[in-house]
Amino acid sequence: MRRKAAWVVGGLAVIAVLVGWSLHGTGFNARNPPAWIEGRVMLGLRSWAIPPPAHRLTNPIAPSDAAVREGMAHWADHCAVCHDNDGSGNVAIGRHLYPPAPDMRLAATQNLSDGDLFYIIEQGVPYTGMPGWGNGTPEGQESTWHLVLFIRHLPKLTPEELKEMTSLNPVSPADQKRKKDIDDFLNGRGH
Amino acid sequence: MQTLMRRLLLPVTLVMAVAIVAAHEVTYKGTVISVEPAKLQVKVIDDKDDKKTTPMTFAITDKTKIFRGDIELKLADAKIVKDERVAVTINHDEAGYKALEIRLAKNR
Repeated sequence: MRRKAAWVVGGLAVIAVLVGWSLHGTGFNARNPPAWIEGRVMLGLRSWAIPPPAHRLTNPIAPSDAAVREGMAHWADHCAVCHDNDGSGNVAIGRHLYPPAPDMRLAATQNLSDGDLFYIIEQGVPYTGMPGWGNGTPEGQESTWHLVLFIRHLPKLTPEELKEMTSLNPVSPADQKRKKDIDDFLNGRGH
Repeated sequence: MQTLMRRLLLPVTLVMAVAIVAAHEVTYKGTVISVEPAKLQVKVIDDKDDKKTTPMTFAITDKTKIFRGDIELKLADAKIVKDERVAVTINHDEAGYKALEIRLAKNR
């Protein structure tokens, strides 16, 4: 029996070495999104790795307009650069990440528990573009719970809220100049 | 140590982010020749010589954002008309001149 097990382990090791060797020097790129199976496996591993007590956490902040707005302002300032104001991920950085930033309005995100969302924001997701933002302070955790409330609100964002968020987005001097050039052109103040 | 790493990494990430945006996105300015549900034809004005124009066709996809002023609208609601000024941003590295963003004046 032990001999049989040794053969199986040995065989698997040989296969692993052959697969590894076959990949040597084949190159890589992060320009295309991951294959479907890779995406499913990684999402499965992420869910599997979240500690059950964290998964079961519920948001201690009661949903209210003020609480959602606080999360919205935080999102526009810190998260929208990769996730876009509407959570679609349809911005230059979000589209170019590997894997690309997900559309957080969809079920794959909305079906996560509040605890899962909190854990992901606080701890980040290794080998993706998602940093861990937690700093271990009660204030930091409160901000994260506000973000969780706002993520639940993403599918219901109104055009007025999106407009307000645009005014809260950080803008680099280069982007300010680009926007001014475009506005001047559109309003007939330049070519 | 961790805080120091974070402080160092954030500016680097932001610089890289700006570089990504700057390296891949190009904005064309011009006037509308025609608009259809999946494409926008624009008489693009040369950056250096505003008398020189080149007709270009941009694909409108479900990811294209359309703004009139600062308000994001659907294509049909934007009511784009011939000869109005337009700025179209595309991803330089993607084939097919897919419009990422179409910007129009708030008031025509």
